[in-house]
Amino acid sequence: MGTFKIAKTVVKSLFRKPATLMYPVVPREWEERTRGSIGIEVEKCILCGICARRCPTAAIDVDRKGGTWEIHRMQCIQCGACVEACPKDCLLMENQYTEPEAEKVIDSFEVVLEKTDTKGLSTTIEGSLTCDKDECVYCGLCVKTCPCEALIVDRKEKKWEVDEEACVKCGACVEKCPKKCLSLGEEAAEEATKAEKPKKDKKAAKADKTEKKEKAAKKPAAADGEGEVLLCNTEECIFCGLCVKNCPCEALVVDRKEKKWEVDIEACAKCGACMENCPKSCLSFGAPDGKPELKDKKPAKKTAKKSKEKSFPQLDEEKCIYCGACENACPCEAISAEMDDWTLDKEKCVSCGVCIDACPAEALKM
Amino acid sequence: MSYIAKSPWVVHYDGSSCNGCDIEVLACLTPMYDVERFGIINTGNPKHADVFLVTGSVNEQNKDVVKQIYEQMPEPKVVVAVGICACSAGIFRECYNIMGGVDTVIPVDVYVPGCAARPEAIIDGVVKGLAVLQEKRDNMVKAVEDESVEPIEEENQDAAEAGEAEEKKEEAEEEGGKQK
Amino acid sequence: MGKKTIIPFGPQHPVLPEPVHLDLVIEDETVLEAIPSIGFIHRGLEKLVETKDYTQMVYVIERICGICSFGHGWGYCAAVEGAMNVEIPKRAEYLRTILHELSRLHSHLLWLGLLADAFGFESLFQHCWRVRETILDILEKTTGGRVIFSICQVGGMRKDIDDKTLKDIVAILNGIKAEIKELTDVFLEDDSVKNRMCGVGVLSKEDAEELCAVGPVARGSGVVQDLRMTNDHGVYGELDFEPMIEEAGDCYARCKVRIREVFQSIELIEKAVDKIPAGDVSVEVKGNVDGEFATRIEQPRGEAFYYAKGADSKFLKRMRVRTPTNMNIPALVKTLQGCDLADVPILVLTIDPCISCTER
Repeated sequence: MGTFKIAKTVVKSLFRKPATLMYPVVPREWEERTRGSIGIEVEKCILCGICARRCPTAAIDVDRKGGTWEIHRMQCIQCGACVEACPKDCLLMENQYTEPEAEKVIDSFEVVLEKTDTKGLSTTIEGSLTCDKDECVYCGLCVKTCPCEALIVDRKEKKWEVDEEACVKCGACVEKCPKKCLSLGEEAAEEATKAEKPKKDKKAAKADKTEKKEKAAKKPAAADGEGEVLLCNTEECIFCGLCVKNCPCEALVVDRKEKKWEVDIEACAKCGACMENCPKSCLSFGAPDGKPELKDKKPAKKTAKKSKEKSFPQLDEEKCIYCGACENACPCEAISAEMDDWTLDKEKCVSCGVCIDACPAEALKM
Repeated sequence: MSYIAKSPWVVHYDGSSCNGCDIEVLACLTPMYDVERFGIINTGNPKHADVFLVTGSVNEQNKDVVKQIYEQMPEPKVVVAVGICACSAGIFRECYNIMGGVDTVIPVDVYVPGCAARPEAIIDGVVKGLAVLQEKRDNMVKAVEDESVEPIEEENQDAAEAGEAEEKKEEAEEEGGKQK
Repeated sequence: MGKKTIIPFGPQHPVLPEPVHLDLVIEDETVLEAIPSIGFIHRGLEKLVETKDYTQMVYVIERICGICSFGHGWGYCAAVEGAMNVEIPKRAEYLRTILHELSRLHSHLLWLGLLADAFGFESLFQHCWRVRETILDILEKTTGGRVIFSICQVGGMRKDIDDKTLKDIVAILNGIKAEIKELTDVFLEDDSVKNRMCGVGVLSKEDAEELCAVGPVARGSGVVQDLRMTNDHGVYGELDFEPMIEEAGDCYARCKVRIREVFQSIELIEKAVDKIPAGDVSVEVKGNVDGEFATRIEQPRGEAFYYAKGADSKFLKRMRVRTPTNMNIPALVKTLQGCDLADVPILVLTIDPCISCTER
């Protein structure tokens, strides 16, 4: 009960610094995540048009023939759907908002497409996506990678189909295919019909050769014949579980404690994705009863793309209880967990994530 | 940006908006952004206002209301469309009940983008609107001045014509006199 | 006998930020009857499910209302996740609960400010909104937007909020607690304010139950109803939640319920940040929606109901949102009968109307 209860607040306000931000004289400092407007790095854009399709307000126009990417600033709701959808990561959410104007602003950017990218794959718009059926193992990784759901793969019926209208020729599937049997472009399409390995144009061929050399070093003989199955050299195997994570068919089961490695032969598509990623190179194809090939201990050479993606576990020191469970769990002996001194040997670490699962204090994160 | 001498008063109307932009417009009046520093007051009476802040898009039911408020405002006036819905109907463009942005019924002077438009953007938009307001006011003043100058010129012209007519008459009389 | 007149109230009115039209039948300053007519904000957005797939529809549903935006996003995502039988990680549930409580905080502070403005106490309005800006800064730091967050997606959350930021949030909230207490004391104890609120707009418990009022309107009249007790959504079951109930049924009681909920939200956020587990914040969701699911969320204004029906396609067949203000309007009409004309703005505000929610 009382009168003028607000007196305390009023008197405080007299002596406190004013709450006013004095905008526009003092410019505003943005937070890191502030959603202001969409920006584009034109060098990376391939004019695939996925952003235009995902935009809920149809604010983006992609003109593939004219080579322009346009955004209607007065229609964009800054939701970020385009930023997440872009397969080349060329769109970003900038903090600064679009300035108010007297007319409806349309920002237009010219995109000049390069003839080939670093891998020598053609990124021109002509031509279509083709698959070399001799090489294809119908594993379905391309289906999972496609952002437009334009591919249909059926392993039992050995069917591979592309919906030409849905396909935007972004090349994501071409990069991901473990057998490298997909190609984009007219020249590549013609050569894919040849029985031998497709000979791409000179630049592509050069890049291809270096790629193949790398693969030959780490890949064993491809599973050419029927009846060959995936085998694991259990003496070398560290049961890290990376093969399980890379298998598109969920055909592998690995148990570290019981030192168990199993493959479901029916489900295995023999795509070789597990072999590419195995840090100890202990996987190979062979006769069902035969022993796996003993190979040279060469660590898998990672391509430029993979090294970009590789991440290492990081420790939250506040949570760490220095129990050493991570050190015991690590299959590569890459962790040294001393009191107040936790170190990770990045050369040895294969990013398998076993330490993260083992930590009782949940102090490790990739 | 021009901080004009007179403080403009604002009338705000929400036509089918989700309220996001409206609370940001109200937030402009609160201590953090405080447009009252510039003398801007949010009035409820259109006849007191210079700037019309519209949020939200226009549908059949509220298009008459928007037009009426616009027509009641005295000249010079500025319309600021706040938010994507007011600029171009935004994400609701395909809805059956929406006609479009505010510019389908009244002329818009400044478009402020954003969903919801930030108070900083609204302040920028209003300041741009003030520049337009100043221009309109200057044009109006000039038009009034031109009107008051024209009648004097007409009078002079009449006087000149009358003078000429008299001269001709005199000449005619002289000639008449000479002939006689 | 006085003469009866009809006064139109709205849609453009300095008190109301939203257009709602009431025809007030009055006799000598006393309101006999109020006839509402709505439809100024109707956009027909439920029909957009036919043209936008279920991942794009989140952005539409979020924009039903700018004040209750997060609740709508959560309700929609929960309905679609239920229809697709997707279970989201525990951390995502905790984050959704924390952000929803922050949303409730900002909504109640906004309402307190508008109420103060409605009875002419403008400096209190300014102070409430000044304090509210701290919460909007927190929301901008974590989600990127002050009003529309766009952080819920089908399958979890789009972004994670790391534990350090969560602890900072709790520290900031505890810091402004004392300031909020000073301001709410003015609402609850100042004589001039109490004069405007006590005994005004009484809604009895029977009326509240009969008219199906929800949210603080019902809780202010003694009806024990709060969806957070049922643990239908979020992790309220693990946070020892108790609803705030008042018996008087007048404007003062409803105001007190909301003020107590403000402090309760700060406590709930603190408890949730203590208990939040580590892990992912989303699961990948691919494929079509088949089947139907309904869920309810306790929004700041009351119970909101979300129904989603899929027909084995990327596009939903039907999406229905029933918002709390829809249920509170009959209660509003009841309380307006017999009140003074000068009290009409206060009564309209006391149900916390969100007309854009109602009309979608």
